[in-house]
Amino acid sequence: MKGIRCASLLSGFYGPMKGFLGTNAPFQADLNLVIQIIMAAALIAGSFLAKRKRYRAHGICQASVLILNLLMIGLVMWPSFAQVQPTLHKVFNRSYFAVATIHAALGIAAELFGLYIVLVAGTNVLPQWLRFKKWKRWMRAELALWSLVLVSGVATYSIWYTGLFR
Amino acid sequence: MKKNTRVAVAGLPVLTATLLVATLLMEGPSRVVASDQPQAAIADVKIDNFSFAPETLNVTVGTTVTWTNRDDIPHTVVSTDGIFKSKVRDTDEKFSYTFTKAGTYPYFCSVHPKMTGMVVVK
Repeated sequence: MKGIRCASLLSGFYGPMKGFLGTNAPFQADLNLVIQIIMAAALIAGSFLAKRKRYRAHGICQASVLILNLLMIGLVMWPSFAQVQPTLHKVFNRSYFAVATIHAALGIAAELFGLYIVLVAGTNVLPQWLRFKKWKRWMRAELALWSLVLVSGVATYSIWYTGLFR
Repeated sequence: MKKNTRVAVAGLPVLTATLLVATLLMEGPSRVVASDQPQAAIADVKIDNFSFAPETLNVTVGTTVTWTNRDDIPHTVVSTDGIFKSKVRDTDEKFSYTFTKAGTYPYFCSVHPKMTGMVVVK
């Protein structure tokens, strides 16, 4: 019951709540921004765990971030994006829609790429021909992609809720 | 003939005065009628720079309020009590609602909940 109430709050079931960062954003957008920054820090911390050969802790850390991000996409980011009814015409003509669309595309790619890495590195469900062996290269690429997603996400937040870059 | 002319000249001011009084009498009641007729009142609220202007709007019952988004980002107009709710309004798009009952109607933008306004209907 508590979980349902929490999810409902995030999705704005009880009406949108004002944010806490002093911008025009709703509560869930502010919460999402803070969580995304914490998740980015966790990913960097997780990469250091791998460097110290603590692979199990590294796997748990990175996979947790990935699952939490999936929740944030479903509960906050996708509903917000769908709400403003983006169209191709708007995406190609307005920075408001363009930045959010770039963020969405990069974000979906990063999430899928991350899930793929978790499946390869942490499970045996994928066949041999779908598995990679150069771990570092793939994981660094994912970290770089995630950084781009974070930057485009901050840009989206700024345009949508603070009026910057107008 | 001369007598007829004199009567006509003497009657002219009387006729003029009569016409003037008649005109005034006719204008008087018609003005009253015009002011008594209910008029379809309209009022506008501008949405710009993350705010509604005017923030509080006083109108009479039957007024149609039109919100126009002059901002370059989308907004909505949603009644706090769920009485009216617009779809997302992009730049230059409008939303109208006719207030048929007296009362206070607070509203906000669901995309930016910090944006609030109020319509007071008397």
